[in-house]
Amino acid sequence: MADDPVKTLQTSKDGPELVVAALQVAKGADGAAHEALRKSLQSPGFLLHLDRDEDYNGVRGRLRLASVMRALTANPSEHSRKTLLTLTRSEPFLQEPARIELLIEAGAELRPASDEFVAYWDRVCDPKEAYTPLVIAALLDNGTPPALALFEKKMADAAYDDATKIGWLRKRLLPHRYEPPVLEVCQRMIAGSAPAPLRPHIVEALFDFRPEWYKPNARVTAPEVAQAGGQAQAMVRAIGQRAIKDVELSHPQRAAVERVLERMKGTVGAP
Amino acid sequence: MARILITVNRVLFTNAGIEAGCGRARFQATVLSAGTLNTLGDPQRLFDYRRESAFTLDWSIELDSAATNEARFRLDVVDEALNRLAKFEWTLQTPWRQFEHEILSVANAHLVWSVLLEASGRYRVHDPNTVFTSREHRGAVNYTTVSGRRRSIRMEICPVLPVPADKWLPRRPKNMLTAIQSGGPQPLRNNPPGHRIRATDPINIISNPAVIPLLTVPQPPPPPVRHGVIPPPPLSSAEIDEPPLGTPQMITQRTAARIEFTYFWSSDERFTDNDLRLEWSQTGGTGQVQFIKWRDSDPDGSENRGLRVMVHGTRRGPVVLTVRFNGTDLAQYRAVVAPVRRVPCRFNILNARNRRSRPIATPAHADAHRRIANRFLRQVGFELAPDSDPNIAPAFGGWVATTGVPGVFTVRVEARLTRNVSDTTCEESIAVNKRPGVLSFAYIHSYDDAGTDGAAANWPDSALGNRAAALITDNGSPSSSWIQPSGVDPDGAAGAVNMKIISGIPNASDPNLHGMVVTNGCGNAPGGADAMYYGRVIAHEVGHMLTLGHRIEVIADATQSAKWNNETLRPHPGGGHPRLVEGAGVLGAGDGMFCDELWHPRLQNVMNFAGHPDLAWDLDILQALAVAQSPIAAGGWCGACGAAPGNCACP
Repeated sequence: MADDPVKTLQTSKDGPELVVAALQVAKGADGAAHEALRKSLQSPGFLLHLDRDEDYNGVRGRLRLASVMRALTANPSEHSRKTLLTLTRSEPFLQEPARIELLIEAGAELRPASDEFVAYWDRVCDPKEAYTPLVIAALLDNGTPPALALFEKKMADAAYDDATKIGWLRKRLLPHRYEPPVLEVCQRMIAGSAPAPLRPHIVEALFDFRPEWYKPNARVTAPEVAQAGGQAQAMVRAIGQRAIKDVELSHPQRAAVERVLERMKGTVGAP
Repeated sequence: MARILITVNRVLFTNAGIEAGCGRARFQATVLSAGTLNTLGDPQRLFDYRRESAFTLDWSIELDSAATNEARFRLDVVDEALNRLAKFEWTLQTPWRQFEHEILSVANAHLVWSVLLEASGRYRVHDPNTVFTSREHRGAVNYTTVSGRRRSIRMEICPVLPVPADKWLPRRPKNMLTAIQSGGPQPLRNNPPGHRIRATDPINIISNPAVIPLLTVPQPPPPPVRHGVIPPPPLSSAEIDEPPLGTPQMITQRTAARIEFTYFWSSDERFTDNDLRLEWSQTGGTGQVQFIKWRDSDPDGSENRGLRVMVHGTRRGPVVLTVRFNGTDLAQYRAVVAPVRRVPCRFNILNARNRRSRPIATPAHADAHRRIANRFLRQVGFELAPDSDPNIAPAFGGWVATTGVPGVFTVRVEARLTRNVSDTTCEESIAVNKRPGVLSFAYIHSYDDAGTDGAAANWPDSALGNRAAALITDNGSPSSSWIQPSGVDPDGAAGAVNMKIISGIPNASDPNLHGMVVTNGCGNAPGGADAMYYGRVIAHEVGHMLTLGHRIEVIADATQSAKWNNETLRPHPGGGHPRLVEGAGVLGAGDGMFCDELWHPRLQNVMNFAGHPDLAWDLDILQALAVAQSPIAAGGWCGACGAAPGNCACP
């Protein structure tokens, strides 16, 4: 453990030494030390000593910076939150795609999502660029209304094709499908905020789960409705009943909704 | 004084569970013996680690085995902040058990270690005739062979390499183990953990394959020397291993299958590698094999003698090879003779404009990775051959260039096709520079799931049908991968073993397009330390494209490693997935929807969901039978008789 991590951050040029000092600060609650780390993370020199230039050719998870970002995200203190928000505007930090990605992912843990961070996600979410899948994942992992509102906006954005959006629903929304804020946004999308061709797929992601939707590398766990809370179950029931009435469902989609509604009979809020 | 040598050979970090991902670690190894705490190696030395790191330590300590009955070994792996990354503990007791390069797995890491006894001033796993001077030799073991004769000898030819730990293998006869534990002659173990598979290794580098290749073209003799005529240069190793598409492979010591013992014990006989008393022959099956010399310098007549042999197929179909000692059956090995199916493939390296959004691998690396993958896939009779057509696909509007390496192209693409590629976009990525009838491999920067090193994108259903309709069944003995009961003495007779396959996933825009993506997640050194990892990832994903499911589909490698060292997780009598039996961890996609519903071997199969490259090498007979039914390449064969489609009379 470094004796004076702040001094190390300011003077060392040794990557392994820097990461230890940065982690020490990122996990702590010392405001002055966080200030130093914030400054360091915006310094091109520090960043290139922490990880070598060629390390940025690889995947972000192997960067030493990734550990630091994880530590900042896990620290509930205001200092670390301030650091992450500052980085969304830091030109030197955002020079590297891998750093943009680490910051996108870090935002998933900042709850509730601030306007500033939502604006950052929106800014980097460009259909021609490579960050959209990470932003969508972060929005749903974050799960707070401001983040989900941006997800709702992206679902309505004609710049993305339907196949891409269906992929988001199955891989990113489905694991969170029985969280009340997610159900709330789904209710809105089914009621009209999402394009009509997508509405049956939103219903499907809430009520079904099929192997053929995924590749073997996928890591998706489908929550069961029985494990959902009472509020969520009531919302699921309402969405299901409305979907059967108002949404043009295929036969398998309709059967999936009916199956879940049948399973919910006798549970909280059942008629 | 009798002494014992404990060595920490290697520590391998697994790809999940090392929380920090990178940093510096110390390895603090101690042995508590006779009240003294002994330290191995340098506990203060710092090692720079990243996930998937492997460290060769080879730290040893000698103990006086006569002074104590017990030695408590402990290895703590800690980072600089003293957070524990992994912890190994083991208590060794008399009678001391010897082993070399055995694997001990815990959450986050595997340890390769050895415990050796000294005899005649040397440490090693001693050959069967060595009697330790410090121990009494208690005489012969009463072991009855399958023919009913009593012999003090045992030989195993395990089809799984690296060989699983003893507890996952058929239980050896008690009286033999008693003799070993009493200080008698120790078994010879033949196990290759730690070996790196390289693109230049012989194509048959992995021994004991499920498929013995059907080879009919002999190697031509060297041309006669004529004055004034320059003879043509001999074929290179690469040309022998992987001749161009359409050219048959010749019968050579690089192409025939190596079949070798994995465990040998004898109470009173001394055996050599090509010992004439150990005679191999084919005793079952409708296929046919021919033995060839292991080395050209071996004496004539030694082709089918000794502890290891080399064979090639001459007629399709299942075969059983039996090793006999003085007419007594010692061991059996079962395989299938089949042709190696070769499929043309294109490797497209997808580069975005931004230099950070490009694969690290060069065309030469991609070619080497293909060759390494072929060394794994050889076990099931499958091979990826470079597409011989250098023409760029006209339908693609991007900027494509040939590279000078056959079958490898570089392509300029939008960033979204190479960086953070999703399940949807990967189908577009493999469509770049595609050609009909050619498998498409896209090297990309990354997948949107950070842990994805490669992903099979599209492939067809098996000729037998989809997952719901088809089941691969094998009734042979010994059983596939020695799934118990294995039929290996003294196990009971092998029973029917069933394996699930996975359904095909058609490409959204072209149902005949099949392919996969490879990412920089495989490592930053595609031409060095990470080359084998790239090759194994390709072999794994090609396995999916050939309808193979995961052999053990568990996300948390840490959970897996820790729990699977526990004896309580023996195979469930009713079969089924481990989660249903013991709650052995979090499942992968869809509650095991891509698993093959078998769970042996634990770590050694190429199709293990989180397999470590140093361990996950094996493909078995059941998988070979499934691969034979994939329509992805011409030349499928019947699992029962080995015949080509149309020539099969099986029901």
